[in-house]
Amino acid sequence: MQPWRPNWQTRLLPGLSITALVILARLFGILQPLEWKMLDLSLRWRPAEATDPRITVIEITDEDLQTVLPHPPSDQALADLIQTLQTYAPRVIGIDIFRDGPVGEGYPALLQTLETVENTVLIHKILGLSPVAPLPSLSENQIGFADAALDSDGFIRRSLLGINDQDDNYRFSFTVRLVEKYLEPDGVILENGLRDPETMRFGPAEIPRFQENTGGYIRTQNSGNQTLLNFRSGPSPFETLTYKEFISQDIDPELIHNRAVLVGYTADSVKDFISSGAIQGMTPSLVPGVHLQAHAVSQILSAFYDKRPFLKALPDAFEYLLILGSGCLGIALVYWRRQPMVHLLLGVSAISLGLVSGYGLLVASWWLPTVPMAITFFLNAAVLYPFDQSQLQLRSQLEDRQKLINQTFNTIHNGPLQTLASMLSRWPVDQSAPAPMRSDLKTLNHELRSIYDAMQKEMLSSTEQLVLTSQQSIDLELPLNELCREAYQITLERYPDFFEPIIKIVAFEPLKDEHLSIDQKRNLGRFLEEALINVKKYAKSTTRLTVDCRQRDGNNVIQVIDNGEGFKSAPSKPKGYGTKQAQTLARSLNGQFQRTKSTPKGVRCELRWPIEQPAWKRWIG
Amino acid sequence: MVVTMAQTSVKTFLVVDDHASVLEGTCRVLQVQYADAKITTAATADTVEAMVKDIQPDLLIMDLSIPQREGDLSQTETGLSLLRSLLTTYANLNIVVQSAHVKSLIRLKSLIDTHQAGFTIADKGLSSSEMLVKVDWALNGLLYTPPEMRLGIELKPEWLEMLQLAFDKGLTDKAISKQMNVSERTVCHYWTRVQDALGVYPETGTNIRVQTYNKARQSGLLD
Repeated sequence: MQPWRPNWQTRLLPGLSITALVILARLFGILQPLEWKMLDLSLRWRPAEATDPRITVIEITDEDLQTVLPHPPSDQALADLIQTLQTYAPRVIGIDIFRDGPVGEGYPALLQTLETVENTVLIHKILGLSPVAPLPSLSENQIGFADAALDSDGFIRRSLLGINDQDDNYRFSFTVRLVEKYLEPDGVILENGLRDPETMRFGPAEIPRFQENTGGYIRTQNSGNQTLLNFRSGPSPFETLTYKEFISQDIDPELIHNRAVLVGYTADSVKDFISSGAIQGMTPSLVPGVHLQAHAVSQILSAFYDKRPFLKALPDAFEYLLILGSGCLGIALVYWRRQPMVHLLLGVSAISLGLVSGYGLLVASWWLPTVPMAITFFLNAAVLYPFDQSQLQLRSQLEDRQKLINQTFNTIHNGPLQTLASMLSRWPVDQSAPAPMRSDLKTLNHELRSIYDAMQKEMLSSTEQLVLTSQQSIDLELPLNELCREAYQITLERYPDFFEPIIKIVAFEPLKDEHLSIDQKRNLGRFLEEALINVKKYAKSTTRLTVDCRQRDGNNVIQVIDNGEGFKSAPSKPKGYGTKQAQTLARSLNGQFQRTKSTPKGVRCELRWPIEQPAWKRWIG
Repeated sequence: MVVTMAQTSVKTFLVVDDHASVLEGTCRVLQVQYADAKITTAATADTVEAMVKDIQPDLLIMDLSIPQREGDLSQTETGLSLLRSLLTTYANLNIVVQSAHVKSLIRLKSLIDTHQAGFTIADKGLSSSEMLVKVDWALNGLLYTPPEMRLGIELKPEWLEMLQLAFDKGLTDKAISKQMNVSERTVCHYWTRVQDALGVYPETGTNIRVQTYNKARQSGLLD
């Protein structure tokens, strides 16, 4: 009598299902917003980097627009600004202001300036419902698009480098044009990637291409050429000057000389803002467009000069392996079976450790699926633990009871029973001693022995025993033919007056029962009981009963045949409750149940099912 | 060949009980009856299994409630599973089971029915002379199960067929074996099973076949 021990399938199945559910949730994009938030938060909390030595941003503020500049700035004002900037000899000037025709006075002067100051780049807009064309006289490498790729929550996390416009011409972004012009003096030009030929590369700096499932992203549009934005962290990533400060002529020339200078609005009134959760010090999370351009340019230039890494994610397969791994870790923790407090402490520390290492890796520019990993681990550790603990408790209670019963019986067996047995065996047969005493002793002997049977019955747990209608129980771990034999015996003994005079032709040969579940065995026992009770109920004047359990031509067969009155006295409804149950049982075994007339008279009740069960049933069963 | 050798040579008995005093008592009684028999003893299921394999005894007398190994608790389950494994492995081993729980043997009935050698069950409360009768029957290849193990008359289909061939058609064992397509030895084996089922056992001075016929006709087995 071994207590029930779950096999590895029943142990692993719940945990693996939880893990599979999390993976499914991620595939459906349910976790995407959480993973984005986690990325934003971690990026924002990174230690500060030094201010970028190659980029200066000239901001047009609300105050500028109210005092020294008209809005929009006239062509003359822009021409003057470019001329003045050029006197400091910057590497490249980026004007993050749309201009597709004359504004105010000085249009010819602006065209003239742009022609002479070749290292100036202007923006245009190529996507969406209202594209903005560039100035017609500009050469192709003086214009770059300013369209941004926003995520579905409206936040920016990617940099768009190149894409086909609405006329299907491949266009480069403002960012790429600025980098191109900046690197010109170093003799570096834009080339295709070496590891990934479809991506862009400046010298050694190959820009990793954003895929539709990169990192926490799920089925995102990855048209054109994009990369994740590895924002420059810290409160002051770039040198900034307001327009007014710049034209005051009182500035450090080194802030412009040999640098990339970006000019754009930071004025609230112009509303050139994009949402981002990853940049420090900007509250609310609205960031001026020109700053985002500066971040995008900065990450490529820093990669080229300082080998600063781009933000990278693992291939999908590795990400899901990590999630599966953290699920298994959770399952392992559950089956390690520590005390509840220790379990809680270990679980919390494991999750904290996971999140901290996720953050650490992000600082090193690796974006890992920390959110799904933490969720999988947490769910496994938190959901499975109480179930396993309660089962464990139940099992130990059962073992304790079993021990107690065995001890009790052992005491009886070794003491009074032995005394009795030896008394009885030493009694000479031919000595006609007081007869009542002998029979009393025999009765006492039987009574003592029956204590064990009674206790044994009590002890079997409800999951593994078959309790027949007579309240007697059978251990379901028995081989099926022995189980049937006991069910037969117990049922017959319930109605000794009916069954004793009947001649019973019985065979309980070994059946193939390795693939049967405990439930199926229980139902088979009940089936036999029911069939025998039916004989008692309906087969009047039966003189011969055949109960035959054996294997025949690849099938397990259980037959109960009587020679009684037969169908005549059977219940008016042929499909009673028992019949339905028998049919359900037959279906679950892939077999057949039949109740037919037997010759010359009587009823034959038969259940047969194939020995070989389909592989999938075996596994689940 | 093997059979005759076993009959002429010295018999070996293996007696199993976890209780030293009972073991001693049983051995004493046996030694008186079978003076030249070689009697060995064992107290745990593990040793029994090893010894049966080793010395191949003619007769095993075992208590059902025994421990698996030294120091374990005595359990009927242990004895039952030992018996199950012996019945499946040693078809020619004569067995006497001493049991307090005759009913727990019901589930082994199919195995007992097909066991080729003698098998008798002796309640622990039997007197020594009654016990010796059970030993003698087991050595003679007979089957004895107490009436509590069945309700009324219970036969296997093959046994009934044999009975009808023997008494309705009046065939000899040899003819029956041909008709049923089994060996003559199997027919003899069937007789012992049928006799047990009908509660007919050898008694000096009576013809057992005639007794069997009478009992079968009485109970309505024959037309």
